[in-house]
Amino acid sequence: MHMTLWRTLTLVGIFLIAGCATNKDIYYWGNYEELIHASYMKPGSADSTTQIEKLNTDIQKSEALGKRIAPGIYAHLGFLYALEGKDSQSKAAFRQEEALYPESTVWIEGMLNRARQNEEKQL
Amino acid sequence: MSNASRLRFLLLPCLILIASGCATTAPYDYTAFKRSRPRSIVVIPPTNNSIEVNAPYIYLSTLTRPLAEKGYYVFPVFVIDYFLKENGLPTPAEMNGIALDKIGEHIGADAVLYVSIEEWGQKYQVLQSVTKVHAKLRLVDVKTGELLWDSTARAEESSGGNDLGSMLVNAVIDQILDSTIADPTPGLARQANNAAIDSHVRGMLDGPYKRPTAQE
Repeated sequence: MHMTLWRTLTLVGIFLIAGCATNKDIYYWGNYEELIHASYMKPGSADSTTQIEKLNTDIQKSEALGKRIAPGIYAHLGFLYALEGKDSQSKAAFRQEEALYPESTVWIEGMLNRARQNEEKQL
Repeated sequence: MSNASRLRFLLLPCLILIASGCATTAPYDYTAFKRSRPRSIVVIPPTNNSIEVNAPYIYLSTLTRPLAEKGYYVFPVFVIDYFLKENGLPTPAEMNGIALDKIGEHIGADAVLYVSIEEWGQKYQVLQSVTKVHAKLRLVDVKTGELLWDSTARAEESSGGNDLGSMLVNAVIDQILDSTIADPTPGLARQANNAAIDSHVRGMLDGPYKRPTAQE
């Protein structure tokens, strides 16, 4: 009886500490850094479709938790959509990064402008 | 000599040493950092002085989080690396040579983090292995080229128990699992990054997303 109580208390304590530690973060990170690591170290371990799914799941989780999604995740998603040739989804994700983080505007607008010019040349 | 005066004799030099120890650690000079107040950081893929060829990209995958949690916008490291490669810079060595005005024009970052890896990975000694992570970090203002902050991210960890048998087994297992699932370097790098970036003595200053007046 005593043992169970102690065990429960210890567990509660651990959860509290862990809870405090994660709440200190500004952002929700999900699988973002693991995904970057895997892209470099095990190229081909996850195709872009799978990576897109993972990032979209992370974005949904961040919304469910009411936490801000970390910088770079929407831009990374936009990049993956571009690799798949899904231009409108790509553009939407890049625009979302810009809306959340205006610091990315110069870079993203530059890329979108060049993409537009390429399209016009091809027509 | 009485016991008390002998004690005083010993204590006095100790106190002087402690006091002089405090005096010699001059506070880090944040003048340029405070003047610059960068909002965004682009991390250039690290140069490598270690013998581990994968070190730059393993390390690159651990830097976003501590920098962003310090309050800065961090450009997506994988996409920036791809973007630079597409623009004719195939290796980190070449990426580290980009002119700052080009970075300002095409990326629009306020600051660049240059990283050089000095030591990386596991070294096997007779009965145990030591894992080291050691990188130099330099934050530079894109507009002025001024050094805003520099530090060293460093951590090490040794594995191998106290009794000989288990140490030998551990060393063998470590060697077998090395570079697959048991790579301890990303975890170690994260510790090193947090220690360097969050250091109270000479860490980075808080960025705009962490300052209380986040909306400027």
